[in-house]
Amino acid sequence: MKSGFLARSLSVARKDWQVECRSLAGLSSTGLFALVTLASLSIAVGPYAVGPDVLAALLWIVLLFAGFAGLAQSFAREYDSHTAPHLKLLAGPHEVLLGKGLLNLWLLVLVECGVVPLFLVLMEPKLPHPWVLIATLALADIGFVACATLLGAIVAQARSRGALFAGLALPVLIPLMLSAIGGTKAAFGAQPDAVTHLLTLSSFDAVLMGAAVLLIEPVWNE
Amino acid sequence: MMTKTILKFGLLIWMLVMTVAAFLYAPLAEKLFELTRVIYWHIPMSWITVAAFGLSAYWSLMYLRRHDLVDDAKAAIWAELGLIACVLATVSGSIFAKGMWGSYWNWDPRETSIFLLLLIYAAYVTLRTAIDDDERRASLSATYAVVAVATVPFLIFIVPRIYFSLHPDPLINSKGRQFMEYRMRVVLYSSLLGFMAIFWWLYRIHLRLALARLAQGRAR
Repeated sequence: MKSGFLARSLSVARKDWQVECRSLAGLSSTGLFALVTLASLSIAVGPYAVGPDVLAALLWIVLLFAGFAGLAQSFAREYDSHTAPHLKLLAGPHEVLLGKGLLNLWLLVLVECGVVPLFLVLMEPKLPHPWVLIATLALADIGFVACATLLGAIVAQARSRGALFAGLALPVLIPLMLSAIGGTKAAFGAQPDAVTHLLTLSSFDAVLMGAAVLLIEPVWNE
Repeated sequence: MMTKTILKFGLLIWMLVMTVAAFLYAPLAEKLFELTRVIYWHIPMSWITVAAFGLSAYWSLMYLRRHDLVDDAKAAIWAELGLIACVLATVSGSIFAKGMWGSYWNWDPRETSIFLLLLIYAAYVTLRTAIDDDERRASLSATYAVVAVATVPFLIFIVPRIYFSLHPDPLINSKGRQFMEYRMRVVLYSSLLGFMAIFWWLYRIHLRLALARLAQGRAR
């Protein structure tokens, strides 16, 4: 193989994106799940005045569970279609991790581009600090994707994947979710301090990315 | 054999004396009143929960380095024992919370931390049940244990500092001082020693069983 690490990682991401574009199964199921959850919340809390604290928590519940519905699929697809051995021959574990991580990040950003504006329209929170919301979403997405990609590789080799993925990911991601909710509250003007939450998110991202890089090899080579 | 029997009876007597001392020897803490008794069970269980979690992660890391199924067995045993200790810590903490703050559960940062440890333990045990192949189960569950332990500093040190906590200042605190009367400390450390001995004993029994199973698997 003459191409470098980044080129091979991008090839993996491009290959997965082409597979995704053929069926749109992952993107449509994640988007639909987010839309249905958001609609349910909007209908349920519609008649009541909900404060920014609760709205921040609701936004992250929608995003987290929509992510659980879609992000576990990237590795599972390789095992289901029996392409994992071929991919192992073409790219190393870190290249596969980065490629699939990039695609997961792209899918999550696409879903958020639809869900977050819709959430702001339906729930009508005040948004005095939009940049804080964007920074929170960006930092939380990185940690979420690092964790979900590694756990997706684990769960792909186990039985009852769907339920198991949420069960494994949620306890690991709770500190991230709490900080993301804190950052979102700050963006909604319900909390003065956003920096602490953004710093916590950054350090959590670093820990999860480090763990994913160090641990993908035994998982992928198993 | 005789020594083991003596040790078992010694442990039984130790725990009985500790229980009696918790009610008759140790004084009641200010503001906690009769709830003081709960801490002699709750704090040792919380510490054993964290220690078992650390040991499980350590043996998981060892498995990833050496690929020895005995290391995996040790990691699994500590996770299972940690799960038991975590349930007991959660229940005893909940009883304390009801007496102290009027509600069994308040989502206080420390309650959240212990509940998440419980979820992580449960997820680890569930993951092991979802994989049939021994080597694959060992490798994947070891990976999960290491990922999970990497997030623990956030749960234990960072989250409680961001969110307001009802929990009393822990015994091991940022000021490095112990806010506890001498007799209370004697009972607490005796309880901790007793429970550590019980969990070590349980670990040894489980390990013998796991080694026998591994030997049986290799003989086939």
